[in-house]
Amino acid sequence: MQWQLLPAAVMMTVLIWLGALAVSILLSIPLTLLRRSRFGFARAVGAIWATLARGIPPIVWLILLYFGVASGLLKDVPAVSAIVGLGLVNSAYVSDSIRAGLDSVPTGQWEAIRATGLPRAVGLVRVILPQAFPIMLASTAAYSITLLKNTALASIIGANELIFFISNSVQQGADPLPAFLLAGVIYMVFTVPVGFFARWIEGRSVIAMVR
Amino acid sequence: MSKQLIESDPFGPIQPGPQSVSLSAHGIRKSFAGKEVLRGISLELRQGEHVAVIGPSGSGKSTFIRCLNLLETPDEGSIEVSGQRVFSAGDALRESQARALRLRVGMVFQSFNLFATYTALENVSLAQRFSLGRTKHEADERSEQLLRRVGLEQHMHKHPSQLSGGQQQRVAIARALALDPQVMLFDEPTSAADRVAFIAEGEVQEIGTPAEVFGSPKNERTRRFVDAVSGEL
Repeated sequence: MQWQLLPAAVMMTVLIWLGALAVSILLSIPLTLLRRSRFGFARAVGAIWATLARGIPPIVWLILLYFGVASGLLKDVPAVSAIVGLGLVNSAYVSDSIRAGLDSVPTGQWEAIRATGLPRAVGLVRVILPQAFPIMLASTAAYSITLLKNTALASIIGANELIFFISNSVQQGADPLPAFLLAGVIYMVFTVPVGFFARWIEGRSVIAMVR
Repeated sequence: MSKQLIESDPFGPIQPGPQSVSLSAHGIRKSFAGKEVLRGISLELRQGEHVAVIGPSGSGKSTFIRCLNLLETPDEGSIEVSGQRVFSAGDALRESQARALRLRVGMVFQSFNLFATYTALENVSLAQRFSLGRTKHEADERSEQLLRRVGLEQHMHKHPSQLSGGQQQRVAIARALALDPQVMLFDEPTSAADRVAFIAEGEVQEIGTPAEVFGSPKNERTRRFVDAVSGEL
């Protein structure tokens, strides 16, 4: 096992994770707008997007993107395919988180916004989002744990991340049990704090009381 | 229990409008999923008048007062404020028109609907700043004055979750008054009473929380009264 290459492999795992998380958050905004649109056509597009993102296994997305995009256009095709593919899959879940956050705010808050003559945008930004945000963040953080674990799939398309590195080391004679145990521990170093963060932020939410 | 339409500030006079009729509704009809809830209600509220809308539960009291500030859009009918037509069923209703109406018709909800992440003071100031364009300083000054008037000087910096129902209701009243409305609407204003005393024949028959007195009256007379006015059973 070439230990000096381990940090780079961990870095690649974190890069794919955070890159895919950023892509999914960016994509989730138009996706949520489509799904909540007044127009049936837009809602249909949003529904198809969410269904495809959720219904196709992430590994299939990665392979489709890898062979679909890998025509020498990009420098690091495996990593980019993984970031885009996992980002696309996760966008459906982040969009669900946004919806859950918005829906957790009682309708009475919207009614009070309207009754006091506040413009919709002001009400959304100053009244609704501060209440919805902790729920959105907690839920997104919980999904990001799944996202991190899914980065292991990038090894299949040759991204030089943690599992790719461990598998190679095993092929070159490293003992598989401790090697994969180490991989498990490294994933836990990230997933456990994120899990704690999700629960902590959820506990901090201030939602209007429903009487 | 009663719904009240109370015109003018219950804590003292506000600027009187020039017209003697401040709010009128004509032929308001409203259906939900094919069920007609309001069948052509017309009502005029005059300057300085307190009008209570009472009726059994499910009779359309809430729907009616929600129509008056367009939280519900009437299917038919029209609404005038100070003689000015502000809503007419069938005409396209612009959001800006609805907002202008709501600034003149204050609303205190049954469950108050205070903004959960803001203090009492911020609740009263928010719409002054973003609906009326007052500065933060102007808005806070007016809010403090109103909150003092409703006896909440000790509670201005508390969040709704730290306030009792009655205190929340007073914040909600201050929040609506802060916009200088011409008319105030109260949905179930008595529900926030801390205690209810039922009096008959010159004597207190029963006293307790609204839930006790209205929900499970111990006294026979109270029970008959509650049954009669609630129109149920």
